[in-house]
Amino acid sequence: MDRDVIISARHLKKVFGSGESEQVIYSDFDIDIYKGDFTVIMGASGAGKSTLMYSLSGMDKPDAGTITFCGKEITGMNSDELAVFRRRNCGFVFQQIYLIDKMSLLDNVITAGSLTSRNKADIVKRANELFDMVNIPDVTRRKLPSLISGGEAQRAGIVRAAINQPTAIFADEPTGALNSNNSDAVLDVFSKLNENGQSIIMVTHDKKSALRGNRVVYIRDGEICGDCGLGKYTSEDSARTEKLESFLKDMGW
Amino acid sequence: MGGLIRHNLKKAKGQFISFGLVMMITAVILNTSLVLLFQTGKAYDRLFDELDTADISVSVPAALAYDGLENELEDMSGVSDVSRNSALFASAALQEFQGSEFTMNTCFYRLSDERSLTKHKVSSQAGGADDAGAYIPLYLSELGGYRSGGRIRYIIGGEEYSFVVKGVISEMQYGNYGTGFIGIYLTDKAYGSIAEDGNFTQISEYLLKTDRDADVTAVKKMLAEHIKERGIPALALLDCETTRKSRTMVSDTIVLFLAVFALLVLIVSIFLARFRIKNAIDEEMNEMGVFKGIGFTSRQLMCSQVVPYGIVCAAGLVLGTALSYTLLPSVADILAVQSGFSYVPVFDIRAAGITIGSILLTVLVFTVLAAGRIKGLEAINAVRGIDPHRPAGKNRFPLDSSKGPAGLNLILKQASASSGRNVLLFAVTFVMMILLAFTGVLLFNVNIRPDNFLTTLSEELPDIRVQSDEEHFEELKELIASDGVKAVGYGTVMAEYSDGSIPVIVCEDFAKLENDICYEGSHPKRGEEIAVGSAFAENYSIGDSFRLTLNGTSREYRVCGFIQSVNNNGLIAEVTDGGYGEISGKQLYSLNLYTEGLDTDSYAGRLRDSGYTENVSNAAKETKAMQAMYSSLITVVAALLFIITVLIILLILYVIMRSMITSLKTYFGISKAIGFTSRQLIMQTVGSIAPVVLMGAVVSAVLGIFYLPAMFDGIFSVIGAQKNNFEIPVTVLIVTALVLTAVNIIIGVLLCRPIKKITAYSLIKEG
Repeated sequence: MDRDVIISARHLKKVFGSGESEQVIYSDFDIDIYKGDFTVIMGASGAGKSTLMYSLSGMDKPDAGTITFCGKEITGMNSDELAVFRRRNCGFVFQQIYLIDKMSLLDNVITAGSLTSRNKADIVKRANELFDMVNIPDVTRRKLPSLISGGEAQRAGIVRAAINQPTAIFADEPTGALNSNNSDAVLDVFSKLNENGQSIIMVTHDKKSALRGNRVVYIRDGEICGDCGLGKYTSEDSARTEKLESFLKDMGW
Repeated sequence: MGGLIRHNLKKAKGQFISFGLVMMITAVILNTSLVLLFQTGKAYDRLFDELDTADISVSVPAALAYDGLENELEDMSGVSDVSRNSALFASAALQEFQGSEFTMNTCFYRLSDERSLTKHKVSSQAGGADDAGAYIPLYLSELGGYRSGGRIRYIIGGEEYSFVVKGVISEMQYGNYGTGFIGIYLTDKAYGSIAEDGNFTQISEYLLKTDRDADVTAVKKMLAEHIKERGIPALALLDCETTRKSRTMVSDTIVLFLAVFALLVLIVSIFLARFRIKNAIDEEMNEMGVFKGIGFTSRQLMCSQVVPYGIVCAAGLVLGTALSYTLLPSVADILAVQSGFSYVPVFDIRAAGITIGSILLTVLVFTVLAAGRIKGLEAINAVRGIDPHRPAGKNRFPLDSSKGPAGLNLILKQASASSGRNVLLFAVTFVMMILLAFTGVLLFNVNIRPDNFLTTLSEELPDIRVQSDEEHFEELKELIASDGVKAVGYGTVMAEYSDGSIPVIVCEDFAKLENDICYEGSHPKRGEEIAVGSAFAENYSIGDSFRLTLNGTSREYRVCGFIQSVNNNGLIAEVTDGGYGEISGKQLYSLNLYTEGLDTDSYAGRLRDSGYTENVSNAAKETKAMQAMYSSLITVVAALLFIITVLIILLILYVIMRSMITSLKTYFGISKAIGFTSRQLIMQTVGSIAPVVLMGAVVSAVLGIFYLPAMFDGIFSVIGAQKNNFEIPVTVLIVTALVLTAVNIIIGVLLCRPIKKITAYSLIKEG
């Protein structure tokens, strides 16, 4: 079955530093990301997972190669063009969450929403629907980030990422700073969004998080050394778990 | 500890440099004002002593100065020395004074006359002293534009007298026109050419030196009575205090203005230092927690914040104090134009001590107070970024419920995020607006409505002044009436009062004049009434008697009002032509003409050609020249004030913007990640300061309606004008407020450019 490619990267190269301290993160790297997938990128620390994800999302620029996002080449865009591009096409969820501290959760979300729509009522309505979906009650939505738990903050971060109905949500270790209960709640939200057709690209070290994806890409030394299809996520599916464990074992995890 | 201080200095290098520059500007202004305050008077006194200047001088007609008078004056109580000079006196119409004509009471002296008192010194000269020529005071040379080697021309009694300007002379009696007299020193040849000329009054000038402990005013009064008793009219009677006041008047005003300016900048600097320290504590709370955790005490951490300010402030102040000495000679030169004497300001330890000491101490006190918050920080809370003494904050302008577009509410959110920043911005804008509003209103009243300025400084400003004689006066009046030109009988004569002589304005009807200089009571309407100058306000009240003497005839007048006169330091009076006739036994044959649209030059020519006049002067031209002179001076001052204001705004906004960008770095990173462009964030940041800036400017502008008249009243009262005619145009204030806001915004946009360099990705890398 032909699947729609939303992001296509070809011959990507990313280098940090120069001269003796030069470190090639990846070189001649190719990858396709498909619409509706929950793509999980795994790999050891320093493998270049986050760097790759931020290149694919237009947050960072590769040193060489091309990235085509929804048919549009983004590698030639300047920073402001990329910012405008990201508004509509990318949502971000960060490990450190990065909510704006002087704004309520609702305002954090509306701020992002206001970039693509002038209809405030529509933005507020959609924000509230998303808050309902992630189980953040009305009272909490009006609190400042410093006054809520990490799990609530990260769920609010997901709402912010989803508010503009982006082509893809990029999540960088979204459960990295959360306890087990909060992690599950956050991952449930991702699963729910993916069920509704939202494409998600997530970088993680966590096997439990990786299980939520339908595709796991393993990166080592700047190359894809494994690409595993897991199928649709269900909460009680031991076969998927075994498949992932076996894949990761093969990858030397 | 030293390492921590160096670390703090390096970390906010740019902001410290800005703060240092603001301190430097403050020091330049304050030290300049203090050096002028401490040295102008001293320099005046030094030159006064060096030239053995008399404490009192009286000029009388030479014909009435009998042989024994000098000895009689010497025998008066309180008088230690008397010297007598001969001179020629004339009311001389000086030509090409700044391109126009000015009539001045002029004493022509012989340069070679031996003098034991009120000596002079030639400060510059062209050619030999034996040629026919004149040595003029610095005042005429600089203000009138007469240069050595050029010519100085007078019209006296309808005849022209022209002298080669041989050089510039310093003397401390008639060196500027603030006293109502000016002194010119002629070579023997030049003096000889006019000595017997009937257009000049031969006078004897008696110069009196008083005892060290004598009351100069009392001696002057005694002297006035003495010569009056002998039926001798005093053409001029001056004391050193009055002369000193008139010659240091502008310097005193500038000192006052600069000191207030320095104070305003200092207030802003204190706000700036407080703001910066509070911000540093917020930004570096985690770091401070770590330092406290590893054993640094609160006192050490406070020192690490305060000492850099102390170092930068001290460096800025020392540099500014030193820099002021490069500026002071130019300022002293400008003052010399008005004061008529020049001096070179030298290093003043007292001024430097006050400038550096007082500002440094003030800044340290306020920075220590601001850094006091560090004391309350617990290590663990600081590491967590919590200050328990500060409230958690509020979600201001919630986007879902606030009216207006989200973009506007985002700006308002940012605007309301820091009360410290807002207070600082408000204070800066408010203070700068005071300076700009002052400048704007000054420019308006000098350039757009010059009459407001000129009528404040001067007495009546007609278009033409015409002098006739008894024989032709009626015919002249008929001619003028037939031309439909408004004419008012007006003139000035010198008369004596109890303490000396004063100019007395004589007018047929003061109600017909166009410049009302009466600030209390009314102008005289009847022969027995007199309005007196502000200098008499202390000793006379309305209804009191005031005696005037002219050519030996005296009469008592009743004071009906008070008038102002900058040129005469308030030593002036006015009576009706009837009142004048009672002591002079004659009437004035001079008129003020108001030509209303006629070409004054050609109309003055027509009057000259009529044969009915003795002297016709184009007063409108004089006024225009005077306006042009003040206009250029004030435009330069305004431009300087504007540049300084913009510089201060630039430096202060630099600190504010840098602080904002540093503290909002994460916000900018997040915003860029979710799709905000650099341009949007720059506009948002600048937009967040705009409401406060606009508010500061507008509030200051509105209050300007009240404080500006008080400021101008204060300044003009120092120079002797109790009532100023300045308009405070609301439009000028509004335009100035908008210009100030625009300047702030433009500078803000430029200073926000580093936002462009903040990338969304750097947030993640740093996180």
